Amino acid sequence: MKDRTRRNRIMSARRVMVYSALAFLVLSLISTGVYYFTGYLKDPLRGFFDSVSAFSATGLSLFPKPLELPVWLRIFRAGCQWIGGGMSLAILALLMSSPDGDSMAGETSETFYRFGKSFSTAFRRLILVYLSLTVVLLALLAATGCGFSDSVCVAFATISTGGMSPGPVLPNGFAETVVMAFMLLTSISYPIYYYAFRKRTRKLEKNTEVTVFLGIVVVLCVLVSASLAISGTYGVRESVELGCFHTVSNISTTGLALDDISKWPPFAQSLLTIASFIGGSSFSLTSGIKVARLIVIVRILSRSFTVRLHPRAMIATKLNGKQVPRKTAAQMSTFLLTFFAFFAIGTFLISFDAPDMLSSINLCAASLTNTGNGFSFPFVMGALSDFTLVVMSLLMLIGRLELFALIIGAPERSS
Amino acid sequence: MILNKRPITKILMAVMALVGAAMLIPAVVALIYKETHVFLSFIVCSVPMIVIGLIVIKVLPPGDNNTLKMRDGFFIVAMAWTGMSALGALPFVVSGSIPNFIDAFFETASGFSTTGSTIVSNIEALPYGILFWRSFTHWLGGMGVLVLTIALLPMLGIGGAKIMRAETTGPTMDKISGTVNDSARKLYTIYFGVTIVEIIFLMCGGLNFFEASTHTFGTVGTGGLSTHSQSIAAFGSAYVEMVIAVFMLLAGVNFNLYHYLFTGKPKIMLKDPEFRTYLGIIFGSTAFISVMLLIKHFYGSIAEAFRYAFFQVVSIITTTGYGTADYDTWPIPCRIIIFLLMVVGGCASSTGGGVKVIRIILTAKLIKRGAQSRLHSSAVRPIKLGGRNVDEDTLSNVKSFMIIFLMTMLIGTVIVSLDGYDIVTSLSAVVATLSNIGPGFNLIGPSCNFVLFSYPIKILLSMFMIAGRLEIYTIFIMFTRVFWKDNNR
Repeated sequence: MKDRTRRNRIMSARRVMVYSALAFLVLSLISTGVYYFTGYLKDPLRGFFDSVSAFSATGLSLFPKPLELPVWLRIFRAGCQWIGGGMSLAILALLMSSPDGDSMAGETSETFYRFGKSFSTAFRRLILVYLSLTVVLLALLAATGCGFSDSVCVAFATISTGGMSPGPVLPNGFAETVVMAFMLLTSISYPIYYYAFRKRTRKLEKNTEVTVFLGIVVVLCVLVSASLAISGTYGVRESVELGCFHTVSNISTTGLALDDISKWPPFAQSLLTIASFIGGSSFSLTSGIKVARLIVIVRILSRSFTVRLHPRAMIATKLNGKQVPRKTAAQMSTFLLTFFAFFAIGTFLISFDAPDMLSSINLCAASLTNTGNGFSFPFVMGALSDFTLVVMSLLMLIGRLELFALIIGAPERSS
Repeated sequence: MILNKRPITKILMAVMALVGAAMLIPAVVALIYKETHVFLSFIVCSVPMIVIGLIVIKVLPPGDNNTLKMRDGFFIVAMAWTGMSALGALPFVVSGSIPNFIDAFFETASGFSTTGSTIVSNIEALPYGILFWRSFTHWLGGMGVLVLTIALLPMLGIGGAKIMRAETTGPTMDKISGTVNDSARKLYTIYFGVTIVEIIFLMCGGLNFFEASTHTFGTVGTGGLSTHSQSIAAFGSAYVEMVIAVFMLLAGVNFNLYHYLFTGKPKIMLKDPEFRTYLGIIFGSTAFISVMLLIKHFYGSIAEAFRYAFFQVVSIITTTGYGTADYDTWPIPCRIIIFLLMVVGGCASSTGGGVKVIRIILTAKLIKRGAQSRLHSSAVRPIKLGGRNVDEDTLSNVKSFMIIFLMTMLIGTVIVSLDGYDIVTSLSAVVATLSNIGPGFNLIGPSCNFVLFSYPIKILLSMFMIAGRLEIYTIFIMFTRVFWKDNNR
């Protein structure tokens, strides 16, 4: 009896998708109004693009020089990113509180099944982590000598993984390190912090996802930094600093940048793009494919090799010490294919406007993974046509809210 | 020991002797064109290979061929193609046409894998015998692939042909005829027939026998190495272009379907879902590109735009790689379409490479089903193809294959970009070799070649060509722990 009432309160995956998309659209429209009536972006479509970019925590912007904007507008844009991040957490909480196998939650909720018994507990716990991370970063930034408004802008852009850069405002290397550390922190599964706080270490030990994620970050940092140092792009010290910062910025799909990456060696560039495809751990604020799916996919692939030689071998796919149901594993691998199918279509649609193949690939990757950085955007962004801006806005929303299924819009076949 | 050494050695020696024997044909060509030096180079390579091969086969006591296991099968196929490429490279080195062995290996791997990527800048300067051998490797490779995909790979449980098996209405080897030898013989007949017909058609277009035969080899094998730097554009003849385009298109079709065509059951061919999608993709892309080219004033008339668009589209989707226009100068959307076609490739059981049209169809259906099951949280429904259900094992194989292809693309791009060339060049180098296309984009576009890469990268790209040709698993499985682990212990 109790079970049934619980079930009734659970939203279907389709509803979660539709509602979250609507919520994001409404907020974006309000923000578009702000841009329009204050006269900073008179073209509604351009204002809409900038708003979606902020709420989806992408960080692409049509303002060429954000530092010249008045303080209130800069804080407003940062606030939009932060609210967007909070809403993403609400969606995560909705997914977590639904039973497994019943919706898209079945895909990723394996890790933290029953993190919250209901939506409100889950959301409260997540938002607590979100708030604490923001406050600590704000305090640290203020301590490094950032002004108040700059601290707020950077902190909001970092914790939400929005990365809408307020300009070169970080005063010193220490501030850069702090921002980098918090980009990393915000891309680790949020429930981990809650469990750590509650000293439930057993839950932490079992979490292979975070370990793998940190491993990937270290490897990528080393490769990117080495590439920068060996190619002579920077000195050794600067290579390590910039290499690590940009790697973390990309894998957390934040997209904050300290320097123009278009001059970097192609090896580093391609690694950064791949980093943004990977994204952070599940139930963090990053977009992209996410490490949990990647782990399961790699296990599926290694199984597919074994099965060639031993057709009757039974190998379970495990994640965080738990066996992943066959259906969930299948959904995860289908997700990867769906992601790249959208990537291909997006690149094609953007290519009508792009000056070359690489820009259309980069623009699409930046939108779909919500990273929002690029290698040659400042020259391109202003010239984009309305059609491309609409496509990119859609890609940002799809990537952020994982709306792939909704867009394909497969009707239920009556059988 | 985990591998059955004796039968494996025997088979590999037989392959070596066959490659040696095949070299006698270009030797004759060299003799006709009075290239004594080239003739001698072929003989020097060929005779020892034949002699050693035959002696080893004779000397080794007869082994029990029935003891061959899956593992041995993978090993033989992988070694045979790598070995063929290494041995086939010798005449290039000995004759001095391509003095460096790695360059020669790249060129030969490109030949046998029917890729058509080249490192030769001045093709016209090569002697006739060498040019003939270059193209002839395509023809041999194409033939090898047909046997492989239709007869051998299904036994190993991989390959496009396996997808069609049993569960779908599509034609399969066991339906055409009972035994492997039988169906292989029928395929050869079709392959030979198509080759001869195309040579005749091309000679009617004013090409001499040498040019007609070399370009036919490249066409039916979907290779793409030409005897001219300008590829097919060198002939400047619409007739020749159309003949080659049509034959490329034919070579990209599942060869099993021709059996039905010739036995008076063309309906089965016309109703085949893969065949229809294949044609749909070709005509859709051609129409799109023609219109784009016309709008952007690349060509003056619709006929001209169609002529170049159609040839390029067919050449890329069949993974041949012949060119009559530099698609790398076309509008960006056209280039993206060409790039996507590179990944798609031909039909299963054709000589074309890529991931194959059938896998694209099934992937699209998988994505759609994934969306359905997410939105409606309903039970998983079977996926249908041609009116019949496709079994789940096949589907998960398709999925794994697609993901491995994608990951190889991404990781390959990162490694190739170590050479310092831009990302589009690196990415297209990986796709062009893994899909067995030939040319790529930017620095390796249709008007350029692969000579710029460093030697380690050339070896990697050669391995991608061979891996792509052998449906990836065959090569990659060599690098897994489970392959070398003795399961008896």
